[in-house]
Amino acid sequence: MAGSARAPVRVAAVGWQLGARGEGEAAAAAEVGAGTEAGTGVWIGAGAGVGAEAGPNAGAGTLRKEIEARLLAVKEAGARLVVLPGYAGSILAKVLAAGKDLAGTNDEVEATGASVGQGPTSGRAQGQVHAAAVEPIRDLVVFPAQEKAYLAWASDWARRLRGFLVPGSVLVAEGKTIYHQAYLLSPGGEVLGRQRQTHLRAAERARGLAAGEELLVFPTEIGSIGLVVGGDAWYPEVSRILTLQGADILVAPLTLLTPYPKERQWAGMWQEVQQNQTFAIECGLEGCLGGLEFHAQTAVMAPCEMTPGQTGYLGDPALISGQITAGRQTGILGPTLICDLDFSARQELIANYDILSLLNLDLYRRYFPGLYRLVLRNGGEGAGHE
Amino acid sequence: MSSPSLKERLTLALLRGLLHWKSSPARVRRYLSRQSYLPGPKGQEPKWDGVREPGLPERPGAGAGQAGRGANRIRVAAVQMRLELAKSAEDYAAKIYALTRQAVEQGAQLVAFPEDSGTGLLGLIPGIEEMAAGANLGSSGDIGGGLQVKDVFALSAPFVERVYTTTFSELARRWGIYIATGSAILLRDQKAQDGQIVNRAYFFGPKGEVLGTQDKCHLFPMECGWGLTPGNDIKAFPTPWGKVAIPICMDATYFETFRIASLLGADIVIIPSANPEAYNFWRELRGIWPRVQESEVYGINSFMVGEFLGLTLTGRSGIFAPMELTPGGDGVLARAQSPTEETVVVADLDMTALRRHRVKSGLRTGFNQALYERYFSDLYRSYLERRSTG
Repeated sequence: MAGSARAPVRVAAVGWQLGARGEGEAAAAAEVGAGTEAGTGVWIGAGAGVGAEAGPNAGAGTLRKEIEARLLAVKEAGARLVVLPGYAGSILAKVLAAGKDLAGTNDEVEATGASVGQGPTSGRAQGQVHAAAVEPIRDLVVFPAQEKAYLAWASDWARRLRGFLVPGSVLVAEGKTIYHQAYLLSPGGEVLGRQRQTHLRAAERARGLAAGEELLVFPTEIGSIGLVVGGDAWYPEVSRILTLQGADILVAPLTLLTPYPKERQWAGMWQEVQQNQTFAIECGLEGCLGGLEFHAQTAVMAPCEMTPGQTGYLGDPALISGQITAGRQTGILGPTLICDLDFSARQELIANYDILSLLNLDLYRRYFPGLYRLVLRNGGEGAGHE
Repeated sequence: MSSPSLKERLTLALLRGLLHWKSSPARVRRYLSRQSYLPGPKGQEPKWDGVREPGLPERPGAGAGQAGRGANRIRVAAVQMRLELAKSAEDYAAKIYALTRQAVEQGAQLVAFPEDSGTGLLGLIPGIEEMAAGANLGSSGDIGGGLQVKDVFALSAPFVERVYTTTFSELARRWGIYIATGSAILLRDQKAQDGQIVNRAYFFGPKGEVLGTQDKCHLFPMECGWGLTPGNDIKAFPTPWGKVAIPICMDATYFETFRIASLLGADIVIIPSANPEAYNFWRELRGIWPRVQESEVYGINSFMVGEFLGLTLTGRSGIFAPMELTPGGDGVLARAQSPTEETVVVADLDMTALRRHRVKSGLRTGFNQALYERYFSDLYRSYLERRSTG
């Protein structure tokens, strides 16, 4: 693994905070760009920022303005890879579609069961929002025209950033099928690729989601990038396959429902970084959306040996966000984390302690992939389980 | 390499004869037959140590070893042991007896010992203490005088194995419990006479019978330097409560180990460990804890502690479960308080709750067979080949 020293790569994770449940509760909920066209409604449980300007399209304008201000700030800070949270793509697509005729066709809407009109709040007493809106996923599904607008926005911002951009994740309808996916855009604004979530539990499939069947690594001048979408962070097969294909940086736009134990994130990307000796950027959505409350720490991670206190975390989100912007005051944007990925230090670490050189090929060959097949045929029970 | 001189051959033969005599199973049996196997010493309260799982009784009931909790609930113990040279087979049996007794007094039906639990038996070799005084196993495989670590292990292995297996078998039988022995450096195949050494765990049943063995499949870099051979299989051994797998220490660094074990039906995965580094919470978190979460099994981690041949061994033994099955939601059922002291921690494992949790979480419904067919048939091989060719 010899090689010349490389300059550190600066990366940024721009977390979003959509306002906490109970903070004005449903009474303060604002519909961002609540149009009357099918599929254009997005609503966000409001924090002070959105709530204060609640009204037709006012929230949408605020959200977009603040996101773009934050992107300019991380550009100023020199970030060469910028990451937005899980579902940010869906939210942006809806925001960008607000007031425009970018709805899905009637067939598309019917096929996916997406919300029609004014989002999940419509037709319900406001006090029932959190209890009733148990399927926010349907309201986050975007249609081809909306996705196109979102990608155009992302392409424009990648160019402005002159950096790589992972603009969150997005639920996209393709006919009757929904995919949860994320994109990587180049500094030139080109879509380098798309990664779909590859592991879906029964509950997700029941909502109409379908799994991707490939895992892609995108070689770039800042390192090889792999995207880990949604629940894939908790299937170690994903990060391992990406790493074995050469990924140096794993990017995970993240959403996690509350109640939130911090250990949930340790069991996800944190430990993937440790067992694969890669970097990872995890960008979390916080706050209330679709009647559900999300919380996740935005983090940039590296192998323990390379981090202060051997925690596996680079930097402190709270401290660094203060240097960038007053985004927290708006109630929309969460902490922004800017960190430098030191590839030379990683190379040195691997030279001393190379976990992947000790992979046991004979063992895996004996069991993979046949053992999975056997267990799936056995209804998920272990092979030979009585 | 020149062949040994007559004097060298004679010395070696005498040493083997001496080790044979010192490692007689009869010595172990005789010593253990004189010990008490009641639930607790007369007139003495059972001694608690470590962190007790909330809900466990203040005093363990009598009849340890009986499956009184039914087939769905088992009390398990993780033994945190100090590595010390044993001067005799009796010394070794005494130490293992005392630790097992602590576990049994707390009601344990399955007791797990740490990695290298047999290494103290190197003390049977005459002069080993002097030889080891300046040795540093961490720096190389050379322990001075042209002697390699591998030579010492290979020479002592057959004798170590006699004391080791007799001790654990006797204790399992006398208390009617299951014992995962931790591990010892042993000959891969005594009959093969190829000198290959492995890091091997034994699993004994309540009749003292060998239920199986497990060789460490992912060696620590230091062990590669010592000339150990990795195993290439993971096994899951049936018990009345469910299947038990016993991969060893570094095996827990790789998700593949636990995935294979759980796919083979393991409900409990025991990791005997000996970590040669200063204690750090985060570094330790890279082992069994995430593996338990991603595999939805119970985990028992037993650590070796102490200073030994230039190595500092630390670790907090513990008993782990999927987060949803732990009172604190942190994935921990019980954990030793100190990373350096000898102790025993116990917890109850509810097998019904585990199976219910698996159904509820739907983790296995998310497996993507098409993806695995696509990548796992060749990716590991091509990765390692790519690396070897630079």
